[in-house]
Amino acid sequence: MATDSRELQDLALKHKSSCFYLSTMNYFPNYYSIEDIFVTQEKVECKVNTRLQRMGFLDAGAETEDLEPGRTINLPLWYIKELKVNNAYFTIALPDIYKNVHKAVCEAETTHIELGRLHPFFYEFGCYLTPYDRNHVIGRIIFETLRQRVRHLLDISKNDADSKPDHRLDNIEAKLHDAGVRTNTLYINWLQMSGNNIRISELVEEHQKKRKRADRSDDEGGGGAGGSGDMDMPTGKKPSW
Amino acid sequence: MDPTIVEFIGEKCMISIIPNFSNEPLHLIYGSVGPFRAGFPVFVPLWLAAHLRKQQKCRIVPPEWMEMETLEEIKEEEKRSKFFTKMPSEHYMVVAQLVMSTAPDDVPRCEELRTIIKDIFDIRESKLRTSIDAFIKGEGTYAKLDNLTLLEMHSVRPILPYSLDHIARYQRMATASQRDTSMMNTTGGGTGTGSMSNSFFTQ
Repeated sequence: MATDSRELQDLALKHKSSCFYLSTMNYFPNYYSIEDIFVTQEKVECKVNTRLQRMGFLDAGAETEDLEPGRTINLPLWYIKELKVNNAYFTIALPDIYKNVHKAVCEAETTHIELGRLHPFFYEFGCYLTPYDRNHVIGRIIFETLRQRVRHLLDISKNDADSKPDHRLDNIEAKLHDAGVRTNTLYINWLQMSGNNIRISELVEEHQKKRKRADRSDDEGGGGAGGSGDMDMPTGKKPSW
Repeated sequence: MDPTIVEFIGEKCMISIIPNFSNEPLHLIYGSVGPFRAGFPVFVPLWLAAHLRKQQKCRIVPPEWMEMETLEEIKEEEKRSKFFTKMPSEHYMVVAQLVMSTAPDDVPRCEELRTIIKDIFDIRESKLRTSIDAFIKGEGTYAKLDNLTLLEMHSVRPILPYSLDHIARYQRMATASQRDTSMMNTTGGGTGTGSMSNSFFTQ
């Protein structure tokens, strides 16, 4: 996997996770999501089937101008996925991780696999590769793996909130884990009556932030009026009725 | 939804108080409470009870389920039963939490009660997680959980619906690809595709 781009990924993910929408909504792959971009950036091994004229530049080790049949090259997923599954030019070689994992799923405890170490986007990457798998193993693997691991996720997000098992979880799982930890902290705070102040709901807060931003870029004269007054609730104690 | 909202909803529960003042009935948006007569018990919403208690204007009468014997029974029953037993109050955690934090003096054996109610909640929560696990790993398409209270539901939200979303997505993906390729293989024959695509579920 592309280890050099890992730092960049981490940085981008951290920035994203501070974003409101991702922290409160479920991830779903879409055109604008940075995770989706990272996943489709991954390289996939392909075998060339036909002679491709003037495509030799794709293969770093090629001597000829054309791409000869039988060579193996790495192509990014975003390119491959636009081609038909049974196209005449390339055959996709499935990454080993999905082969080894299959065994592990069947034979060992799924909860002990360090998915994050296998691939940071284990599920999503597998999802994209599913159509290329003639034996229909990948689809089943990712489905079964997550199915088996949900209980584990529930447990760890309940019990050890502070020690985050980074390398053990895939990106999707890490998000689920975060959601679980958040619920648990809220509950504990409530139980200790420490979070009793009335706070603006996250939705409203985000909306205000946006509005303030818009106002500032617009014009500082007229925009400031809406931002104060009844909005100053976050520090206010719960009113004693 | 977070616990404070659950608490807010739970505060609508009625509870009996013994006021030490007399007053006309209070006309509130959703109905009237009172009239208050010193020394006579009256039913008020929980939020009003907590407020009056903080001002030393009443004594809270703990609900009848809030005593050791009843709760011991509930706990035993909860341990024995495979399903969730019916709780004495829809918001037992909220009621207990509010009553015991605002008026610890009005409840006899307050600390013990606190512990046992927490125990019951923990038993139910772990039961919930076990049944979620069984549901996800099993073949069922829906689960029925009776007698679950709001705060217990909160404890698995949003992680449970999120995970189910992902699982469903991957399942669709797996079956879809299987169907596509099997259709491709049997373009001549035409029959048998239905049973092929179904085999994933009924393995």
